Amino acid sequence: MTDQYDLVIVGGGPAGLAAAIEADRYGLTVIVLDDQQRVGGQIYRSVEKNRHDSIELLGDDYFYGRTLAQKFAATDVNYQSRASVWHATASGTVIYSRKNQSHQIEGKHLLLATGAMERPFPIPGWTLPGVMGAAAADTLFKSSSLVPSGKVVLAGSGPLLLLIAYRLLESAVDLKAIINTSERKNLLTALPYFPGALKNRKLLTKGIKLQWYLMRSGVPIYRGIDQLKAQGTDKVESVSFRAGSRPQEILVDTLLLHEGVIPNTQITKLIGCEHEWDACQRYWQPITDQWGNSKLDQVTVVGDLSGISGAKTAEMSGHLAGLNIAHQLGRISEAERNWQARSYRSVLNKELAIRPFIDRLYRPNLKNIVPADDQTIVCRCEEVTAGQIRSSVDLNCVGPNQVKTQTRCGMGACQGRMCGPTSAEIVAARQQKPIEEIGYLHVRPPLKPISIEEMIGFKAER
Amino acid sequence: MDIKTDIIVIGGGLLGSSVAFGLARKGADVVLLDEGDMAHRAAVGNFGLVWVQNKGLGMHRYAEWAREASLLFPDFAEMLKDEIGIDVRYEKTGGLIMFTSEQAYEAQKSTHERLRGASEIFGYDGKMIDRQTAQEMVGQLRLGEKIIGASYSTHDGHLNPLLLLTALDRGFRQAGGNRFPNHAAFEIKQQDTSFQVRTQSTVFCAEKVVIAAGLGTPHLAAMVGLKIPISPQKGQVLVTERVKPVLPIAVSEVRQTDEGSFLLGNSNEDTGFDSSVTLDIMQKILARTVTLFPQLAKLNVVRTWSCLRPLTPDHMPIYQESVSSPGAFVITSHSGVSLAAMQSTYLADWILNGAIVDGFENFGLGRFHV
Amino acid sequence: MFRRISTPTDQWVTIIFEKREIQVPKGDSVAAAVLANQGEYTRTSVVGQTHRAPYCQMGICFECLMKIDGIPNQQACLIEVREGMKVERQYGTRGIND
Repeated sequence: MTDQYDLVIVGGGPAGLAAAIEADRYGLTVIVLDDQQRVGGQIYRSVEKNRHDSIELLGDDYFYGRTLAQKFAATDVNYQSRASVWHATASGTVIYSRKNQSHQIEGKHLLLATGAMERPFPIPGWTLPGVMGAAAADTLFKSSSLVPSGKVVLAGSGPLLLLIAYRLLESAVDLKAIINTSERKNLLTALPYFPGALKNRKLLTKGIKLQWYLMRSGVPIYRGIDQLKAQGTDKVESVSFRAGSRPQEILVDTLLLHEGVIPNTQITKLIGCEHEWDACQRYWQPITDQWGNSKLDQVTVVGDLSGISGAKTAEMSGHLAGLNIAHQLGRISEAERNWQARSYRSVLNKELAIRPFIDRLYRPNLKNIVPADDQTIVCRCEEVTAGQIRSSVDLNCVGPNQVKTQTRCGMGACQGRMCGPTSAEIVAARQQKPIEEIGYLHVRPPLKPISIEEMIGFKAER
Repeated sequence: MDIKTDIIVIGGGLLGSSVAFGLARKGADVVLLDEGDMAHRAAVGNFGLVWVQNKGLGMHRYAEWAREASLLFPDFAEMLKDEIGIDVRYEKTGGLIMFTSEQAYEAQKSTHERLRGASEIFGYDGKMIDRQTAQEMVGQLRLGEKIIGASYSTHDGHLNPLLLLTALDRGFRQAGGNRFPNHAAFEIKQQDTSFQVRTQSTVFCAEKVVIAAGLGTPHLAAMVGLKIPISPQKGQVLVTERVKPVLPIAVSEVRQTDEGSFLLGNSNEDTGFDSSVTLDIMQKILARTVTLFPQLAKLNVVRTWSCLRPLTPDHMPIYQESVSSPGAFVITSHSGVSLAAMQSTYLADWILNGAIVDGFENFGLGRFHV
Repeated sequence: MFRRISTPTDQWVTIIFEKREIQVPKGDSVAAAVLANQGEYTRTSVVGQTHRAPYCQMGICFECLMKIDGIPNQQACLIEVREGMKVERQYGTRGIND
């Protein structure tokens, strides 16, 4: 007998938790499947257990996650940690793996809240140990009080970069340089949206303060650079680039890369949601309405997965979705839903007001998305280079799926998560076509590698 | 926009690509039309077997055809490596079909006898072997307990089908061929002695047109007066993580690829044009895998895919020139891999020069009007 | 190469990383434990046998695949350390009996 729920939630970050809290309030039976060990997603990673000595470093915004986690803990919701969903269908079937055992459950409604991932930022040498995502380093900081020892360089752009640089410096990390890859002209394109940003004075002020802090820190900041490379034999030893006409080389032990975050759409693509292309921030996002409804009747998508907008927005969208699902399942009337939604909607709108400004200010640099150097590994798992992908396009591959069959890009363990976006961008650039025409990698189950014995071993019911 | 050429080949799968390659090599001016990134493509969804066993039961000529195909393959693969520069990793390892049922085992024995009788020119080497011999052939991997024996043939082998497609494509371009991706043909019209093939953006004109469009063939063939019976049959495949080489021989349901991953398969379903992977079939294939080789149970499945075979009623190829519109040819087969060498030689000759091998009419539509 | 800037907990466990016994705070992921103890790399790649280390810390990149308590291909960044846990690197392609 398969377990049945009113609502199956995939993801334990602020969006998933808020939706669970809301649905529970109206008596829905809810299960949350979280592939992480603890609630909080990435933004509130390890927030429950954190006993950091320096609370200022993590900030109030981070510790707010604890309040959310506590509210969640007080519900009757079934929480499954380390539960990895590997199959899901639009009719509400979900199969997940936990402790090497798979289980099938059914939900009258599915809520997908798998959040965001760092945008792959391939440079020559990025597969060397010592090179990692900047947000990844921040996770090590939050969960384990770890900071990179030795010499560090931070490269990229995006609002998160400012925060991470601040935390590194306050932890006495030997930050040798910050390489700011955003284009100066971004400020001009963003300025018209500045009035909207003023609605969120708190966030704006935070951003300005961080910029000012960095400028005064004495750390060399490079802009308008070219040919960024990580160099070393078995680990990164130096980072080189061209600043203007001058070649630079900085010795490092850790290189942190960050070009913003993008929705982690593996599950929405698998399940068959329609996606639209965000031309400013360059990512695919599932099409949703103001309640998070996707084009599939039983599937709701919330949080950063439905479009990058930050933790507070994610939380509000979770609440709104929870309300709407409660209404769809007959627990509250439409009028009641709309009434309860008011406060969430007003916070959401305030948070969203800054988004057009931020999205334009931190527009990803196409130079960093389409690696110019042919030697750059694009598919880390199968070691397929940018040059090989370009050759396959010249040999008439018209999209990432054909590139995959010709080069093996996307056939490895990560199943195209780290290389799919880049592969499509390279095809689009080479063919000089808009990426909406190029499409994306086809996603099929299992969503993560599962052993044969585990796949056979559970009872699949129809 | 109008483009003139000698021969238009519609379909860039294994059939279209191998025939186009053969035609271009023989000096013809060839245009190959292909669809987009997400088209139904049996060429990239198949198992990679170059297989003879059990082919041609009920059609003498096809048994010979399949047998000759496997004889030609080693030189064909060598040519692709030397002249085109791509090693398709073809290995004539021999092939095994495993059995758990006495009844099926005996039935296979008589199949071999019949096929032996049918292959006078090229001979046929297929025989039943006992469990112990089968265990010796699979080497290190332990055979599951339920396996009672196997059917073995020296003619069989496997290769990397994706590399084969790449090699044919590159060979085609090297020989001066022109490939047009994102050009789905939607109409063929005859204009005096030539044909006009229309895609969204272009009109292609040639004296000859070859329809090798897999499941798209019946629709296009009707435009040149041919009724081609093809229907989709779904096959699902699973791939494991890479493993150090351990299985030296091709087994019909499980083979280890040149990069080490195991391909697990063999399913047949009638689901129309639905090409989604389904859990029940995946579990069935995996259960069978573990019956064959219990040690594989610990491996991770990394990818799955499914593909629609373009199947004819008797599962054998159709090679037919239009009677009402001579110069228009239809070629279809779901064994585009195994027959690649034949497709690029005999079929190219037939299309270019009208050269017909003995018994070629067996592959025509005539056999369906009984 | 990572160092701790504060003590995240007063509960520590002992794990065995590549035959070396190390003390790790309870709550650390295996990936964090490896990076905090000069582990530097978690595996070598299957194609080129190059050194790889965790990149994303959230289960997306699959660079942190390690053999944990005898089971290969475990994502070390998603698994928390346990007393007596055996952690080993993976080298290239696995063998059938690994």
